[in-house]
Amino acid sequence: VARHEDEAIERLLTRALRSTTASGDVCPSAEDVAAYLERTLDGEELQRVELHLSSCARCAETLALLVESEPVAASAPPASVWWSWSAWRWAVPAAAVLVIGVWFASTLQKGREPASQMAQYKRVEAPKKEAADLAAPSIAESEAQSAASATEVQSRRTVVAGGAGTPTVPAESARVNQAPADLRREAAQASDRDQSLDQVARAASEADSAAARRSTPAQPSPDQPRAAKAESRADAALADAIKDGATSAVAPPAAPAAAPPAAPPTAAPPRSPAGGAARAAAGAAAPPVAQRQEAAEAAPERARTVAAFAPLVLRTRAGDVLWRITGSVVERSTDGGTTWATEFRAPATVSTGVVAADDTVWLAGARGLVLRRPAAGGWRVVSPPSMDDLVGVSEPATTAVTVRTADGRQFRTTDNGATWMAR
Amino acid sequence: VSLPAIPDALGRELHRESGAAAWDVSLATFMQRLAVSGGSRFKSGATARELESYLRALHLNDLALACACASGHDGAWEHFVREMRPALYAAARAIAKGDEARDLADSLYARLFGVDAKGQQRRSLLDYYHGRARLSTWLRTVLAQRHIDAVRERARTVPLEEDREDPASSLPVVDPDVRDNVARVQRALNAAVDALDPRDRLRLNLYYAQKLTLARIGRALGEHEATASRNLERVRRALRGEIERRLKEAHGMDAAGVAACLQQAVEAPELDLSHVLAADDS
Repeated sequence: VARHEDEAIERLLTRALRSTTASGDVCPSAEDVAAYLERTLDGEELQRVELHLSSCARCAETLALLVESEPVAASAPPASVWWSWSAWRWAVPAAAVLVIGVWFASTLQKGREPASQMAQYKRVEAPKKEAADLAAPSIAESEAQSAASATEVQSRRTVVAGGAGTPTVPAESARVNQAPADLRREAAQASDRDQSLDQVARAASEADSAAARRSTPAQPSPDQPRAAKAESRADAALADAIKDGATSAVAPPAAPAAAPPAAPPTAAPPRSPAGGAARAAAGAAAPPVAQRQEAAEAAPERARTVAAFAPLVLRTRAGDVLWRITGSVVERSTDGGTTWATEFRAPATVSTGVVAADDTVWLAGARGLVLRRPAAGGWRVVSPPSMDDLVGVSEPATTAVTVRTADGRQFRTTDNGATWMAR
Repeated sequence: VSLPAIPDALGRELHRESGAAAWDVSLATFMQRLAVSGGSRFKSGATARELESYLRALHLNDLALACACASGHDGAWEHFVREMRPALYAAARAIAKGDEARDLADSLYARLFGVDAKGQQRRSLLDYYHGRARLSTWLRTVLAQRHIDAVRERARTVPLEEDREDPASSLPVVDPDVRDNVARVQRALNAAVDALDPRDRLRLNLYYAQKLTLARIGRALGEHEATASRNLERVRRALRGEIERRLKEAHGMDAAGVAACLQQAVEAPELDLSHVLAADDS
């Protein structure tokens, strides 16, 4: 049943995502998209372009084609990431050599017969050579790359199957000891399976192509600004959903909202297919994947998951006007929460908010997001003090507010965010 | 739009650094080009420091080359043909197939040269390059956009014959209750996707709609493959929980009701929901 449910979600998700069109938004220039890929956009631009990419099928497709058409050398995984598993792959054979070496040294202390020395020397030699090969950066890197590309398809399949709740980590850990040829063969098989999955997905999405075509605006050459068409189906659906939800609760309880993502009935331990292999092999004593992830990534990751969905409700002092923020969508109600209307879409997920004495509303969120709304007026994105996720907002006034980052740093502005002071 | 003023000393330094002189690009021309680039970035003005750090981060060599090619410098074109053109055609082959790839690259190349489809002289497309990304990446992006636009244009114009048929006649006959339930799931899902963090929404799009591999998603989002995988799993779980929550909240369903709805969505995947979704929820 669980597998079917995930399949249903995947099908509908493909349908929903294929037909998105950014409403009333001009597509970013080719240069903006190229700079997005090269990570040379700065804070506010990055948010603007990312928000657009996330809701415009044409631009998402451009980005995808851009990545797919990348020359082979440039698409290699970043080699400078020293903590990545591939950079530490040599550690497994190296550790083996060390263990054998220590054992060798200790036995050497006990008995010094030349014959046994010879035997042990032979035993050590093979792994040593392997370690030397792997330690040479260029070879290690190219190996890591070929393994990465071989497991690429594999990883994908693992995630597709993820919802079925089949534990795949043990299988992955066995993979470390396999020859590259085996990996390639398996990857090829996986790719066959992947293709059949793709076919199913494609068949499902073909039904929407007509709808997608209708909602796709004409796109002339890239150097002319384009006005995209308004109101995607998703918007209408959101409005419906909000109408539906309005009757049920003024302040939707945060707990039920947070609970399902944390414990869906079929939740398998989170997997990181490629990295999991090496880590699982390297540390038998390490805690289970789920625990490790929680411990290592701790607050920010989890806070984001929760923040994305637990609706945040704020009210004016008089209590007649309310705001409900779900993820990045800000809704407003002027009748005490009976009906809601979408008022603003933030460029990032909102995590927290506060209302000042004069009903100026301040919100803060992911990647330095700070929003302000005066008692009479609209939402404005305030220039951020830092590009880190903000988790706290306090001491609000008309033009002043204090925000706090996830790691506890605080910044205060008294001029609507024109300048920020660290505290 | 007023262009920002670039201090002479800075302009001179960047001009020297860019190697623009090798293509006979004058200091004045290059500074004008820098000002246009700065103006496109800072539409509502910038401090001298912001402008300077922006200009220093540009791909100056590429900008100088684009500038020289746009003005028709022979040496610059020779360099472009030698260094950039092969990559341009290779990228086109990665983006489109066969003759289409060739046409795609040819037509872009002509526009770069400043000739339109009718062979008339026009402003070179290279005039629109501002040096923010590498010239090669920018060229690939333009190729990708042109290809996508061409495909979409075709998709919009070809199936006129089909449209003449009554759309209702080709749809499978489905129990209205089932259709309503599937529409409810789709609506809950659409709303949940809409409320996602933009980066997470893009992540889902790249995986489900664009069918990118995890490694490529990582590349697109600037994350390592393992992180991309973990994040995708996180969003999937959150999304699923949110869909269930919305179904329960909006329609008073229990867990079994939600499961039944999802089951129906699996069994009727070919359903065209556009009418149901457009209509008011009943």
